[in-house]
Amino acid sequence: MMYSKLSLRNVKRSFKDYAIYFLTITFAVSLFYSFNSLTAQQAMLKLSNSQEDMVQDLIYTIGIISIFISTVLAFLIIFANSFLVKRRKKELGMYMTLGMSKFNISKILVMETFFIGLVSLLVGLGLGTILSQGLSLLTAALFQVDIQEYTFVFSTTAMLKTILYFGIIFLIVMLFNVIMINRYKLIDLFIANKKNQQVKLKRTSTAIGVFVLSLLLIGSAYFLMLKYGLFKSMNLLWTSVGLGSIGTFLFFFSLSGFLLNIAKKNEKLYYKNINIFLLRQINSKVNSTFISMTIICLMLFFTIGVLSTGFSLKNSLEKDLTVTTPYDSTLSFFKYEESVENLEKKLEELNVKQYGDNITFKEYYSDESISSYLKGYTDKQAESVLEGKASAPLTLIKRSSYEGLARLQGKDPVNLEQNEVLILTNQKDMKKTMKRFVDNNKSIKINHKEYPLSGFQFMSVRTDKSAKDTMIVALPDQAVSEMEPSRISLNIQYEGEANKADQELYNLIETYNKNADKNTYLLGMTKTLVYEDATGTSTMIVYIGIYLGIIFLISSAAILALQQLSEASDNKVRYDLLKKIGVTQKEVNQSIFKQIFIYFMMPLSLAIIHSIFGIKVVNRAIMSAGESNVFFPSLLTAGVIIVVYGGYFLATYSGYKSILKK
Amino acid sequence: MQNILQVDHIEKYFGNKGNITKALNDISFKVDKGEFVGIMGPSGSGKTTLLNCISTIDTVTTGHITINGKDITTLKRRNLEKFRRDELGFIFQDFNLLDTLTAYENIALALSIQGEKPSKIQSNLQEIAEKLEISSVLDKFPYEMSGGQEQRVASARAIVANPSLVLADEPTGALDSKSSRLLLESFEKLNKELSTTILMVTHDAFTASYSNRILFIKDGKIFNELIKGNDSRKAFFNRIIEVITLLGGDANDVF
Repeated sequence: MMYSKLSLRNVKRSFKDYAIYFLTITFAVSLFYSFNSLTAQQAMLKLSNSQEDMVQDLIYTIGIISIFISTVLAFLIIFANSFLVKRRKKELGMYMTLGMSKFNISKILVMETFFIGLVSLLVGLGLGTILSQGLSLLTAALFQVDIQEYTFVFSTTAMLKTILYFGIIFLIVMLFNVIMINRYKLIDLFIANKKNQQVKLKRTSTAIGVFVLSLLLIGSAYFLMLKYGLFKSMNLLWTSVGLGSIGTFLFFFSLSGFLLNIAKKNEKLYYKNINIFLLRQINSKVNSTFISMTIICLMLFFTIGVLSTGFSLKNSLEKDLTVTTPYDSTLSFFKYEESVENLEKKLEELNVKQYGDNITFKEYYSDESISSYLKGYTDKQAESVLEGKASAPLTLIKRSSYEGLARLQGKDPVNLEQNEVLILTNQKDMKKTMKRFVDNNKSIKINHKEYPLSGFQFMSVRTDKSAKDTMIVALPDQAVSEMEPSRISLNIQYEGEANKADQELYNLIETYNKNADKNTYLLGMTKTLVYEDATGTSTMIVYIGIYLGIIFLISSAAILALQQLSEASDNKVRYDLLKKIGVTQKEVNQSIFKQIFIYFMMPLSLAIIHSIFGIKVVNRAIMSAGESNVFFPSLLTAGVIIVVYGGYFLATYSGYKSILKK
Repeated sequence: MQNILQVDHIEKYFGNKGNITKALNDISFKVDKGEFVGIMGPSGSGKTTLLNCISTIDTVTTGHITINGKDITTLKRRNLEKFRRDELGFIFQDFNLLDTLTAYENIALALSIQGEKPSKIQSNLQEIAEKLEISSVLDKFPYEMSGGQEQRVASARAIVANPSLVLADEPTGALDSKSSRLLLESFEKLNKELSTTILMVTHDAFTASYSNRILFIKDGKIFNELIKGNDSRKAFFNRIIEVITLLGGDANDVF
């Protein structure tokens, strides 16, 4: 087996060149494995029924995302591999001149891919197994559950899945290698990289024009998002993404056309040391890699955005739940076809009053809409709450219901005079508007009747996932006696074991809705469920954020690193020459450092600028859901990027130097 | 005449114990300011090793080399780099221009690494470009130029910083005869008008005939020395051929 020996020796010998390629695949394999091993991790977590359902959802989602990720990785590996093959054009040309057939050369490359794939798969799985132990700790922390008993987690399913997915990727890579070799001509292999690339946009003025256009596109994408927000419409969102992406592309496309000319104008910079050479190096690189620059910039933007907003979304989702969860559980029916009596009976039949103190109350819709009252008093926050709900009717409850509801929460109800009414809201953004409203109105007209207004109170009338009660008015019992209720609800405060009650209620709601006819959908929520749901949703976001974000991050860094390293040997001649004409080793090293640094920073800088706006927009969108703080998550994201991206940068720098030393 | 280069009993050994090759075997000579000296010898005679030692790229085993009053055999590596940058200019057989830079940038680089002011770089560069008749190709990349143009750009790069000594290693080796003549004529011009000191290694008699003095090297030793004096170039050329015949008669090295 001469060929396998040859390829094995090649892999060993060029391990330094392969190191980044190898490490990247290893990281990717380990991430892929550990995120897919979630099923096995479940064993050691103390999860409730509802949480188990959420973990199932999470596993399903990660399964889908893994398909996407493996596609991204396939592109990365093919890309990286073609770079490595290009680097070895001369060596392959040598084989050909020695009379080796293209078939045999392909065989060598296929075997090399096989060896690298095998080793990185094994090491990656090993690393992944260690990583997944840590990941289960993270899972426990995110779900806010305890670890039952520490067990060593190993998932055979995840292992097989990893082997299958990466096996396919490597097969594709092998295929690509064979195709690439077959297309090479001997002459091309020998005179590779002799010519300087042509500048894409020859005229500086055209380049500047395109550059300005790119800034306009990016600017308008920012503007659209800042003006209309994230959730205005899907079309708008995609338009902004499209504008931003095209803008980013044109930005890098035009950059090389005038960057050098601008630098030349600054004579102090241009004529300093070997800056002339450095600028040319960077310029020619940008000129030839603007497409990958664009992709990398967008991937980094995604990573930064998703990591920093993912964590802050988690914070915001989990905060402020106290307001919306005054009771241990709430069950309710909306009235559709059935009569109120029937619904009351059904609620009775559920037999849930055994769990503790409770209150049943009905809600009525008035003829007026909420916005008709608040016109002229709303501020920006309130407007965003009321947006799209212009005709939402004012909700009414009986005074006796209000008093009961308040007492069950442990609050003293506000004392109301004979005909006085009280406004309730549980939305933070409505507070100021309500204050203005009650300060300026002595009375309120409901269903064409005037009532004296007592004031407003910030409280919820039920336990729910989010604050939905914009404006409820508690009015004298007899005022609604003629009205048909639109909703009937039951609030419970547990006595005795809360865990048992929670589990039983959860099962009750699930089974009831499975069997019931569609007219009587039972809305049920427990305080525990609200908290679990918030942690579940946010965990999902954080998980996907970390998974996708880190894969994107290492992919971007790996592409940049390989692009630099693959041309290091071409540059060896140039740096040797610089040394001959008297450039010191130190200056050469500095120049290499600057070259790689600028190259790494270019897509990152634009991505950071994109992110500043992106985070702002996302923040605004989740502000309404609750408090959000991006400072700490941003710091964490910065840390991750500095470690991973910086690590790749340093590895590239030292790899570059060692290639030059050879 | 000011003494620019002094080579004192230098020896250079390759290999290890029991198998030693003496590439340079006790060579001594001097070059004065404004001289145009050629070094000739057959392949393997040690002329490239000699040039490498003088250009500080290689080190001698024993002996001393003094350039412009500084003994380079005792300099530290860091100082050597600085010395090379400030005192020497190089012209190589295969031009060695940076293919990513234009002619202008290649030449400017030699000045900018010495920390010259932008205004001085620009004026010096224009001046030297006119002397070497390369003003029209300044904005071109090496692959857009002819070999002769490339070598003249390389010469401009070597000379623009006004070094004490210009070292040329087979400068016409990769040129056709017409380009060679053009290049050598510009060497002559630089030597006369700017009194640039040039040390040129070649094995080509025609190329060597442009210099004022020729050292012949064989087996690591100086074998002969020819001085042009008041001879015409043609007469000098004939004397060179005579010496080459004497050296071992490898007629292949003549043209």
